[in-house]
Amino acid sequence: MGADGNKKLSVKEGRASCGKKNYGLSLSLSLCEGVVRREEDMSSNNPSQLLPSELIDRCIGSKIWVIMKGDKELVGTLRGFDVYVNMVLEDVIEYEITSEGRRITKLDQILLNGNNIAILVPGGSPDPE
Amino acid sequence: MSGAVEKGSTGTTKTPADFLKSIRGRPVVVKLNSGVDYRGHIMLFLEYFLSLVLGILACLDGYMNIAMEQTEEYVNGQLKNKYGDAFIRGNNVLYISTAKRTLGDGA
Repeated sequence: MGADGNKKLSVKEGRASCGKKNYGLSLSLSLCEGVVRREEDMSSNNPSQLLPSELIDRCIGSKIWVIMKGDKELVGTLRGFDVYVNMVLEDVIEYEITSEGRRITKLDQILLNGNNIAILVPGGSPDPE
Repeated sequence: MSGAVEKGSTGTTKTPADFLKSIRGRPVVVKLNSGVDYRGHIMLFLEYFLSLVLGILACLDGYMNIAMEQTEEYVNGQLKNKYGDAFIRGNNVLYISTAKRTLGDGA
């Protein structure tokens, strides 16, 4: 009985140590993967690592939908922006949502203050108007 | 961000600093957050000139302080006031637009 118990214990220990080894191996593997991933980030553009500013930069020249704080939206072609996300927009349609309906203003070229911008959607509004 | 600023010198992109350069002395519409429009000619962007002195391309601190001349104040599209010169404090500015503009209601 006693010997059996010892055997079982030793087997358990063996498994435990085996498990530890595996864990150690997997940990080192995952660390290696981490290093490889980081190297990929440095060398090329990994799509999983994209700065917000890079995303906006990719929108330059194409339509963008700007949703402001409050009931205001703009759709226009993005020409440029700065660190405050002040934006230069071209061929702009401004939508002001009021109780009487939408007021639409068309503008050639604007510099939009970034202070009240809430959301930017690349590709413009799904609304054709 | 620095990438966006560097591209400003090329033809395809136009940073806020480029835009301000291009509209100085031209008629513009400045819209405030309150919805009031100011039409007139831009004299100065104070922060912009300060930033030029410091050699920084972007607007210095995100302010859009503006000095205008021959200023007309529009509330709900109707002319309410005329000012010779006006200073608009930048925190109120929603956008600065080139002056050609059409208005439409409804839809």
